[in-house]
Amino acid sequence: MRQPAQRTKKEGSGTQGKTYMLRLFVVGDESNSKQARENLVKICEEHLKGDYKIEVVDVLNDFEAALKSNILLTPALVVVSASPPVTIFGNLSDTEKVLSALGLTGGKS
Amino acid sequence: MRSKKPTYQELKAKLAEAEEIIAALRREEVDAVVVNHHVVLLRLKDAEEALRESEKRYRTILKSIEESYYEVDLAGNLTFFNDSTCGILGYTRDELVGINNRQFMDQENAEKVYQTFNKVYTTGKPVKASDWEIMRKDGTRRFVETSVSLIKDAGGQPTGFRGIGRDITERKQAEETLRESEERYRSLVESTEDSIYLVDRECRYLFMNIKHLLRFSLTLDEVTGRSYGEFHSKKETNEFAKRVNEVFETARSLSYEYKSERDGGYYIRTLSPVKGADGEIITVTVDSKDITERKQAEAARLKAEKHFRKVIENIFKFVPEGLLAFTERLELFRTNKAFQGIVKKYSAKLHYTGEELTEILIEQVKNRIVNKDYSEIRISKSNNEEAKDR
Repeated sequence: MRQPAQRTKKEGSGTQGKTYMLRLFVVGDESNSKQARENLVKICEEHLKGDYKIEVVDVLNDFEAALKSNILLTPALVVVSASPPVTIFGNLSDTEKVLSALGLTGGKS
Repeated sequence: MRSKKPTYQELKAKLAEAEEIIAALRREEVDAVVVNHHVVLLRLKDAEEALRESEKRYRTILKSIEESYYEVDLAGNLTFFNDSTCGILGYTRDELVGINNRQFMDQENAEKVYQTFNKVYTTGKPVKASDWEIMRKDGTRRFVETSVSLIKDAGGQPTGFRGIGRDITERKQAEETLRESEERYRSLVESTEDSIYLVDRECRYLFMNIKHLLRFSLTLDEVTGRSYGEFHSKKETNEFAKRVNEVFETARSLSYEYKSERDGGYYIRTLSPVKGADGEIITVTVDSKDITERKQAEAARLKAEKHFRKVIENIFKFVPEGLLAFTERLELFRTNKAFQGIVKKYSAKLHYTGEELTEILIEQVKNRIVNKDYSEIRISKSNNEEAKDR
């Protein structure tokens, strides 16, 4: 499940010059965190064409940031630039879901 | 301060997030949980992998061990077991699945097993049972020794029992044979009139039969471990130690007569070596036979004999009649002077030599004794010319 994106974009229609602010909460180099990092970069490169900024937060170093963002488990991606911010959990292997969170598709239920 | 009441949208968003979290957990895409200012790492895959590895390892071990490994449910039905269990019970794997323990033991043993399981269930503590008798499929009976511990589910609820068992029939039979043998030996040791005890090389008592304990007026516990020297004089101890040492050195039995300073009794002691499993002599058995009465009887007999000899001597010496003494086998062993005088006096008159007349008289006397004829003996003159001439 995800929060509905504020921006409505048609699939593959690009980012219309907006910069996506993304915050990825991970824990060290654990397998799902590592996968989430790789998947996110790949998706962003393919679909956001450089209009993005990724901040990776390792909760082992800064769990206060996780608490502030109400992050209960990792890996978690917060689309900060969305209003209200959208959070998805997991290793981001489901590209459709990530795109939906970014408001780039119609989204899955 | 009262918190602001969440809007429907906010609640919906929270619910969506919770569902998202559950879904991520189900997909095992979670590395850590942030809770109570702590980061808890969740290495689910690693843990599962480790668990699988561990299970694989245990199952390999269970397959290779000779001992039986079993798991039963709370009713005693087999739920898991290794191949050795099949071997011990004599059933195939298929036949054993789900079988209840009552099917391979009699009612008495089933009751014993029930009591054991019940104890483990009640106390939660594992136990070791060593006297279960099982009945194999072919009807033969075997003894098994087994451990029993409780299996609990994740919530801590008992779900069954598990344990490791081994066939101890041969050991049990060996123990029984040994026990019977010991019983026989003990019965033999205790039924004899002899004193029997065991000593080590340092002449310390290792065992003593009741007969000998009575002579000591002590119990076995009071004697065991104490040395011979504590109960005997220095002279007796040195003598005994010398004999014990000889048995250890030569590995041969020896016997000797011994007079006890304590009770004045006479004993024949036989010391024999006892060898251990490696052939080394470990102890010496001492069989002490009381010969005091025999000794006393012998002394009395000797005394009587001496007295009798003296009487005979006097008779032979002082009786004026001629006397001949024979053994039971009618062998002449003695004559007196009067007899010799008679022979001397009449041999010439009857024309016999002294030897001839003696011989004739002896033969006559012997015949009379044999025929119990106590009439007079008459000797006719000899026709022996040679004797006549003399």
